[in-house]
Amino acid sequence: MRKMLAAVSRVLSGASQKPASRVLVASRNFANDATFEIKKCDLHRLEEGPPVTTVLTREDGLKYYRMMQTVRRMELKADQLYKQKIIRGFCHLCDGQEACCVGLEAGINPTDHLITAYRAHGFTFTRGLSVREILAELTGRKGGCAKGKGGSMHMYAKNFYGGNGIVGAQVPLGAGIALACKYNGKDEVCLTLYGDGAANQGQIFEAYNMAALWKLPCIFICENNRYGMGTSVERAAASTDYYKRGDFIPGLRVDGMDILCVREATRFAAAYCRSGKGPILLELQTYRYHGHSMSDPGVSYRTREEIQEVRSKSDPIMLLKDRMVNSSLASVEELKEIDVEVRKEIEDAAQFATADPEPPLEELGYHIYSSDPPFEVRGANQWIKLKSVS
Amino acid sequence: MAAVSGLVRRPLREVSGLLKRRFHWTAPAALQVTVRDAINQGMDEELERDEKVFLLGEEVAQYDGAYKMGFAGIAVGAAMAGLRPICEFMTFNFSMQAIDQVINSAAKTYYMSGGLQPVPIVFRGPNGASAGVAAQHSQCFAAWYGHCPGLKVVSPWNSEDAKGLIKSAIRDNNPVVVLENELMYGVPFEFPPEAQSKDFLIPIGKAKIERQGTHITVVSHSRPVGHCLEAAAVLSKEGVECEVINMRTIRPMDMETIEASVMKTNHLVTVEGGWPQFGVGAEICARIMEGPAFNFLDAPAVRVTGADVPMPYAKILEDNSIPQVKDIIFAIKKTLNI
Repeated sequence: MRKMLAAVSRVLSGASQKPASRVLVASRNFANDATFEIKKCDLHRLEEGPPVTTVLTREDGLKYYRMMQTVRRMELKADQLYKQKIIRGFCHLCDGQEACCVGLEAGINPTDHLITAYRAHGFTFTRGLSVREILAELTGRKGGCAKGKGGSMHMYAKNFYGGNGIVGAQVPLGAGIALACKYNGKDEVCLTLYGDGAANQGQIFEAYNMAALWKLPCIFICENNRYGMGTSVERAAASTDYYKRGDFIPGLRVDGMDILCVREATRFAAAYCRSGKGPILLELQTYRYHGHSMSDPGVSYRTREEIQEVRSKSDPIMLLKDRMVNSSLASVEELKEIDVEVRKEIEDAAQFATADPEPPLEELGYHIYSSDPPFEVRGANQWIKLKSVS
Repeated sequence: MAAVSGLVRRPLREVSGLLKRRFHWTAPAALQVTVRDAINQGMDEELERDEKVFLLGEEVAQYDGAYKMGFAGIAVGAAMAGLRPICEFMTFNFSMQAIDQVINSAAKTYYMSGGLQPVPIVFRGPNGASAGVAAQHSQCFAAWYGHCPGLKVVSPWNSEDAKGLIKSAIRDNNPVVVLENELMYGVPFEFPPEAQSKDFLIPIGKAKIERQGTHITVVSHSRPVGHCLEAAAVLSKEGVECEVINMRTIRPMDMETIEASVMKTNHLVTVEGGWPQFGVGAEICARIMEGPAFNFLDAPAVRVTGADVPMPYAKILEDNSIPQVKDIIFAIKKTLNI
């Protein structure tokens, strides 16, 4: 009773403009938390895996829901802007894979590190940048997180190293970041992501080798969305047990559509690395609704039925929503409210991203070198002299 | 941390101990130091000065078995995360496997991130022709790396260059490629007093006039600088005074020094070990035409380069695939029409 009254008074004090339904929602009694069963992970070279049950608090649940919905709507907005030709070039969308970026972030600290390949918008958001900065970078404006210099595949944030365009190159980089973590001795870990397409690359095995030899706190993560561009995993890999491909590196196969499963696996992996045992490998089994990029309709190598089946049975946002509603962690109306807020946030961001000016031509030559005095950069002919400022 | 940093920092301390003892025995003015020792000294001083600096590479320190693309990427990642790695390639030919990491992950990142993500890394190792190592191990990469904005590329000739440039490279917050030369490692040079200081730095982007002259400007980098000085000595006896410029840096290139010299001598010969097409000399010639020095030329600028062939193995063939002193003299005389 007391809880209910407190909830009501909290709402009422800030509810001057809120519609009546808001007050109604707040007067219901929600559970503070609930325990859920999650799928057991397949293990490679591990005696034990992550727990098969987990506790989700209402607060966390709402946070994850909002984050996943934000990533979802942001990616769909990017799709729209691309079709309007306001976004150009490369655009690799991650809708369907929201449980991965949000779940991974939920299992680590902001002081940990993360690097991924080009399907990076979701991670850019979960690592702390705003939708505004991300969309404005996609539209190539000066308000973009890289001032319009990078575009879709080159977004950076604190402890987030992109956004990398060359397939697989980010994996040795991630091992190097893990090396720095170990060198600095602050118990930080580095999440190093790659896809099923990149998983057969030689440099990844080089990185596995060195990470294992030097016991680097590196969590290698294969985001297996079943297709490397248009090639299904069965046609690409002699072994599709990506969680075992690290050979001497222990691995886990994780349900990448269930955010709680991802979170628990990440917590488990991070604890493993922090204890000094060396690297570990996670395979997140997930799915992307869009094609590989905006130039791929995504239906020439897979059926619409398959896509529809995943959407109706395994959508990560739907799974979380159902869990929360069925265990009274939240109400349908409340979650709809969040949807409305998220839509507005995305709309505002898209407005900004469309209206913000392009970077000034004078800055074309900027940011060649770090920490240097200004110097001259050659333009398209010898008379065009650009200034370069660090 | 101790395990990793010990692996890559300890052995050089042992070397530096030896070097320190040598200093106490000889008078500074007469100090002879090989290029190899100069590099090691420079690295050791920088390792001592900043604990973020560390070494990584093939067969470096006690570590056997690092592999090219992997370890170059690891080095770049460590630099992104705030350390200051010195990544050694056994030769720059191996860097071709890792070149994606050097260019796409290191050189371009500060620009692509809009100034957010610096990459303070040094890539070093022997570049260009050696002796009898044949085609796959003899390529000069000055032109390839010099092509790329975002990279700095230096090419030391003597011991002083080697020490001053490696130290500047390590202290630079940008990716720097240091193109050394295997045949120069064992060559001793006189080490001037200022080079013996722990803070001796040679600025990146500044060439040095090794020999003053009035009749012709001869521009070179790395080992061929020595050949140019030999040619200049021979020609001096015939009354021709060559101004020999040691570029020291490939990118950013010091055109001012070269132009000022050409405006004085009215003649230009460039000398390099790499192939002629799209090479360092080609770039110098193009820029001379665009600048004030063009109007001062009394003859077309001339290039002396490696032969346009993959490096052969047989000694007589190899000797004739790189610029020899006689080739430089011939080119100078042709330019001066004598």
